[in-house]
Amino acid sequence: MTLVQDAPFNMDDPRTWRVFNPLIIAHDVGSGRDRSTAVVGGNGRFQPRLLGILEVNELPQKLYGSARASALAQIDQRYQRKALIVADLSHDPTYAEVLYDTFGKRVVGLHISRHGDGMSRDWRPIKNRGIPIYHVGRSYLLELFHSALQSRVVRMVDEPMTRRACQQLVALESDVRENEIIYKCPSGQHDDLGISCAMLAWAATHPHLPTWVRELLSASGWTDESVKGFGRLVEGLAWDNYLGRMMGRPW
Amino acid sequence: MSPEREIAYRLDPALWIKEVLGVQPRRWQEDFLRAPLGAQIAALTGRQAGKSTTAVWAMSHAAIFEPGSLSVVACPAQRQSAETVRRVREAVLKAGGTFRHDNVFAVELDNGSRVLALPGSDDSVRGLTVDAWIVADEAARLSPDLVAALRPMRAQKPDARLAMLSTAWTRSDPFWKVWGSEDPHWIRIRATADIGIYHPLFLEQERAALGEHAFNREYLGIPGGAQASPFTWELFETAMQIHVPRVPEH
Repeated sequence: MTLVQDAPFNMDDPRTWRVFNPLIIAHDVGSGRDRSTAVVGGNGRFQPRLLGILEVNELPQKLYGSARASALAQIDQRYQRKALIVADLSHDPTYAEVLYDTFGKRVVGLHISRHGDGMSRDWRPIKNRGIPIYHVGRSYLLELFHSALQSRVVRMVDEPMTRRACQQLVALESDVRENEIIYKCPSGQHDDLGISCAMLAWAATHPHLPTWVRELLSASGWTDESVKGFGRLVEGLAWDNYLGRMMGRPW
Repeated sequence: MSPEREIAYRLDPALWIKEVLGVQPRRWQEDFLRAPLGAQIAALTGRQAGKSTTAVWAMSHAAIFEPGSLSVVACPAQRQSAETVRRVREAVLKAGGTFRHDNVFAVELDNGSRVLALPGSDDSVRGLTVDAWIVADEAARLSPDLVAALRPMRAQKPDARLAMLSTAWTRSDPFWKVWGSEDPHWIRIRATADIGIYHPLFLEQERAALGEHAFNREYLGIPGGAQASPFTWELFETAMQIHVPRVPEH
């Protein structure tokens, strides 16, 4: 699955969008029996604002460290190495260094745990700089994606792997506790593809997205002035706050 | 005891419980005890509904009337299994049975029947051949590996009965996988508050003390995580639909 360059634009079909604001690859890092994933998509650069999910991939099993990053790089290469890499580093913090070696400043880390709204971050020092690691709750991630789906701002390419991701999310079980809802994966099943879609939605609506995009452009060799100019453009194009309103907080 | 009475007790454990142990089993307990040889039984019960007691009766009956038989009980912790064996000991003594060996985790009757308390992990339970009862008590809290280790114990003994008894816990635990499945090879027995086994005042107090969700789990057999996923296929179908027609290519 790649962009269909010569097909007429259709806002319901992310394959025809041509440009994204920006293109994002959400990368869930498999632990144990889980596979690692790469879900590709991003915001369309048009009104109304839509989030497109272009393709959903499982990386080959039993890949670790640089081999896993190489498999991810093959997908990144199909998109001219211009994607923002949003990686779940909850289970393997050392993987951040490998990702930085492969993708440079384009990497944004996630630490998924029980709580967190994805606003607080740590900097993991790597070489002469660091990559941001955001702390976000699993339930928060899933609810954000659910809100986006309910608001009808998500467009997904209808493919078997996409449906598999959907199936994982449909199969989740929610356990209502006193102060929270916990979403659990049924025994023997996986939720890695579904979580990756939620990570993509989280990154695409994050208030720090313009900053990440600036890093992305700077990594692509843009000059300081052009980066600043494009940054202002991106900020101007920031989401219309409707997701923020949905989630009950300012964006 | 007359030979006719002995045959009646041998054939009907519920009658034996009533007349020899002097206890009147509830209806669901009778159904459990009268399960046919080789049956697989899943019993979903409320708290303190008598599930361990029922298992004790079943294993005691088998130990007395099936000489040389072996029954095993597995609980989340071996301390709990040992407590079940202790109650088997009491029931057998009350019925006039005598023991060849008797310790915390096992009893062996003079007729050669044994009842064993298994540990709560699958590491050291493999290799047993059971021909009477395999009881998984509080089965929802057992590890899937332990449940998987219990099942083959009756592979060569088609008359052995496998019973999983539990209060509700989650929808993804080993017990609910059986209870919620449509496998027709399982006999499902329900003993929850909705069949009138508790005093209404007690239930009211428990509901107030536990809160709705825990009460549903503990007394009504509704597991935690009972809520379905908020994600539905309708949401995804909407996201995957292409509404705007493509411009026809020339």
